[in-house]
Amino acid sequence: MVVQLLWILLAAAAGAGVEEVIAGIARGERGALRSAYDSFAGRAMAIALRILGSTEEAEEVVQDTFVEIWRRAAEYRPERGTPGSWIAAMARSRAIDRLRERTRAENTLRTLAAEPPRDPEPPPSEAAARRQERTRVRTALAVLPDEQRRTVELAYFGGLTQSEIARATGQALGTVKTRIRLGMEKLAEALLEAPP
Amino acid sequence: MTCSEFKELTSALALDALDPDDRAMARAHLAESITHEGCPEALARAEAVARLLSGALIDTHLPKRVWRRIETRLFDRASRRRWATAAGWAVAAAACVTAVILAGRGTRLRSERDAARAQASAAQVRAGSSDDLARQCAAQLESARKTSGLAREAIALLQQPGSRVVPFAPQGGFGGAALAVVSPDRRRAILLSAALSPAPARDYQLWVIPPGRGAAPVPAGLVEAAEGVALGDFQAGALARGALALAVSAEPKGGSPTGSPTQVVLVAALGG
Repeated sequence: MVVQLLWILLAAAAGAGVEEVIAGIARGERGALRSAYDSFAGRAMAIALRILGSTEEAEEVVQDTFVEIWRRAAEYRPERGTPGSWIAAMARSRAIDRLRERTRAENTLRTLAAEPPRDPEPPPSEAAARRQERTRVRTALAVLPDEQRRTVELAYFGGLTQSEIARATGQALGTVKTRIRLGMEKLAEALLEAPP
Repeated sequence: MTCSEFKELTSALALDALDPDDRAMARAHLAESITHEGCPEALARAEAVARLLSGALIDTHLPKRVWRRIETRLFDRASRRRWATAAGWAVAAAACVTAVILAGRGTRLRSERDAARAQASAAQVRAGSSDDLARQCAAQLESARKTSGLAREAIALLQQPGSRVVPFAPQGGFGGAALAVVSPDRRRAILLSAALSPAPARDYQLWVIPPGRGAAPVPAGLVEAAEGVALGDFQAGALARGALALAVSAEPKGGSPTGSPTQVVLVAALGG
């Protein structure tokens, strides 16, 4: 614990970025792992909970994710995204693997077709940058037509393929494909091209 | 598939929403040595959007137990108990026991048992002292340490006072060899081998043979490939009851379909 605290303090004093935290994990520094956990476990939990709808399973996904981060930190490539998005992608992938172990589309729809789970209160310590990021992504999603947003969410948070979405929603496969493509293109315009 | 067709699929590909056949075709197109019309860029753009989507969620508070469990899984196994002695391995004798447990019963096993004993003895002679084995381990791990967290964990385990290195004895004519680094309390064991890389249709699976007459082998995870070496992390749960021996089996992709070893290829006895 002392070592972890020291690592966190030293990293903060040196102005170490989150990428340096991942590099620290790759060197086998436990304090770096704790630092990454403090920064990103909450988001990993949110993703897993949204996908699985089960606190217990979501906690297991977070555990698996950080064990994997410890083992695969050396594989992280900054050019492919921020550490946060890398960890989020890993948590999503593990949550979807679990979801797919269940009776797939049926359970996914049970989780997603109903109202989305109520948002928790943002933690008081939440960084302003994180708040801005959430507002930006939510705004981009909100301006999508409902059917496009829902289809993208079924794919991203539900882990369903296009065919499965078509079967589950009764839409034609071509319609689902178009909605995903158009929805993602609009999101790209809003998130990648518009100034933050 | 043309570049135009590929670009129609990039959104679904980035969301992992393509059906398996389409995904395979899309990946194959991307790997083609042709002059692409912006295919990698289109996919990168879609992936960038997909990565941002999780940002819409509000971080969820985690109870302290989650971090404690992560620590336990990663760090506590090697430091929980003391190991009384690291003297010797009694490999040959215990390998006999293991061969009997794994291979079944009856006099038919006598020759297998003798063969296992001879192989284990030979492995021990080849390996020389535990220092020699440790050096072999360190050399194999060196190439993998940069890319594999598990390799680094194996190095750390190797450096831990009281840890030891045990050789695996080949079974059934298997041509490969392997070593395992075992923590003093036997709650952590990491296998390394240059001969166990998973193949498209085959995995190598780890097993723990717990003490006790007739105890069934406990599945303990799959061998994974790293840089120049295959590594296997025996799962803590499988080692929780103690281990008389460790084993590796060749299995269909994904692991044993029956819950028992299909074809045992390597065995290492840990002794009583």
